[in-house]
Amino acid sequence: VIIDAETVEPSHFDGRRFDVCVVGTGPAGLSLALSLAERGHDVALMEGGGLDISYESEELYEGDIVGADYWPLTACRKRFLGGSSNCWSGVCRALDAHDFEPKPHHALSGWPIGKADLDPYAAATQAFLEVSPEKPPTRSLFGADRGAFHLIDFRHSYGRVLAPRFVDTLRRSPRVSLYYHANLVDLELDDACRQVRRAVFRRFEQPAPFSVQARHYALCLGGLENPRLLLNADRQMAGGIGNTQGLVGRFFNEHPHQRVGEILLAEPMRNREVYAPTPTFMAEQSILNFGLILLPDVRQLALPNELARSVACRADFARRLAERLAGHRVVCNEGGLEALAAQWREPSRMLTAKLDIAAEQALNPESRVGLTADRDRFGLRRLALDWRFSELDWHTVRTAVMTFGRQLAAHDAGRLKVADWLLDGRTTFPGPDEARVGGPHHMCTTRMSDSPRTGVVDRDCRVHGMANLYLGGSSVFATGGHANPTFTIVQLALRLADHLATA
Amino acid sequence: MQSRRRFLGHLRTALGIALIAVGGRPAAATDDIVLVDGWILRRSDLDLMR
Repeated sequence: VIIDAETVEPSHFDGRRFDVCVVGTGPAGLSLALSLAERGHDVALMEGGGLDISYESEELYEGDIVGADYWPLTACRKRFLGGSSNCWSGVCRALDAHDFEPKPHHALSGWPIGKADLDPYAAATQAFLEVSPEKPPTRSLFGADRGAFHLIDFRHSYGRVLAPRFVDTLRRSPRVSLYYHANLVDLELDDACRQVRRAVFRRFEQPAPFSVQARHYALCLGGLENPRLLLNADRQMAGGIGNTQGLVGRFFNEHPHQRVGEILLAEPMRNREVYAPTPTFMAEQSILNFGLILLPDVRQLALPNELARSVACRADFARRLAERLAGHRVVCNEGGLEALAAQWREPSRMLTAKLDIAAEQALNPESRVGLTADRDRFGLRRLALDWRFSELDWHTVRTAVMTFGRQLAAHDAGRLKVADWLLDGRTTFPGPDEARVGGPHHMCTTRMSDSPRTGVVDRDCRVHGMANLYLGGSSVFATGGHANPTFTIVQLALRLADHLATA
Repeated sequence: MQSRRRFLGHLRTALGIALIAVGGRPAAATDDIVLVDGWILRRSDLDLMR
């Protein structure tokens, strides 16, 4: 059933105890709730926003950027039914097996679980997200001699906006009660501070709060709001729930996305291709994971203007180089009629590509989510995002780009013009005005670890020290990998459903 | 005429891919690769700059 929380009396919940109270209706919360309901568990599914976008709900995501430049915190996530699936590109990929392994050059790295623990949930995740089947890439710029890189496949969700697909299911479900306009403001603990007794909610219109009781509670609020809620819940535990080691909100990971160069190709390229490092190369160079994304220049006639201009002192050099690589005549965009004629003759030829990177970040405790002194309409302190980079992040990006460029030239597959910012000695990535910034992927802020000294949740996604409080979503990632996280988020949520069904 | 041209185009692409697949392109030694004005080049490309 679907219920507007504004319309219920606080007494509506008196004497009612759900099996699980799931807070948040993004990919994690929705898949968790539906999976539990399928097994006959009574689930209260709580959404702070409404069934559609609204200013009053999105405004609660306002916060401060105190570290590296980032998008406004209201612009990189959504707060209504379906959560941030409402702004999801639909691109996804499971983590690689080596993403779960500890790396000697990456402090704290390694998950307490492995890829084999998530693989059993891949088929159900594919069905839930309506993801295209795996299609191993057949062509590589480097042929059989792949060197440091292998071509990887990304998959696409056809049903990426989740909420409309599941509204009918939720409406008819006798097991899931979806309450919207229900904003979690507090978790009330027992006297020993070991269990959640009830979750307290506020509404936009009705002044009276109400509370929900359940055997288990699962917060699936996203990589920024999960830590924000825990840090705000400091009424009974100084510093917030799950924060005895001061780790809640730390290790904030993104996937820095940057344009790192432009490529002249020897062979036409029709679709985007992504190259990732081999585990051997990562170990040899002591670097993290990444994806180098080649985007064929769709508006290209032959050679883009800016690339020709970028070598203005030798404007003809890029064209002559392109001709040497391609083995036939190439004209610049600026060629007017000549360029138009070239397009008409060979419209599908893509001889240049942009090169972007989406890189993994090192676990850095100073990169973190904290709170400001400012409070939202419900009295919760707002978010302060202090995103930081480390030398290992820089080493990874520089090594990735320079090695890829060298390999392109060595195989005569193309030539790379490296982005100026990578060579000008700066020590920060370009800001959002200059390029893409991140996924947006918010990860690792309540990371998974067997030890409460190095993580907030255990391998079952249970908050260390709490008997019945669980977290879902990418905040529990132990490390970020480089792949878009939604596939892994749903795999973890379905695994959590298995755990809660038998807990 | 156009379909013939398209066929030849496909053939050329297929041959190119096949050549790459069997490692037909000669790989350059690492010391033949240079960074000039932001370009990562083969040393032999430098003659195009003259």
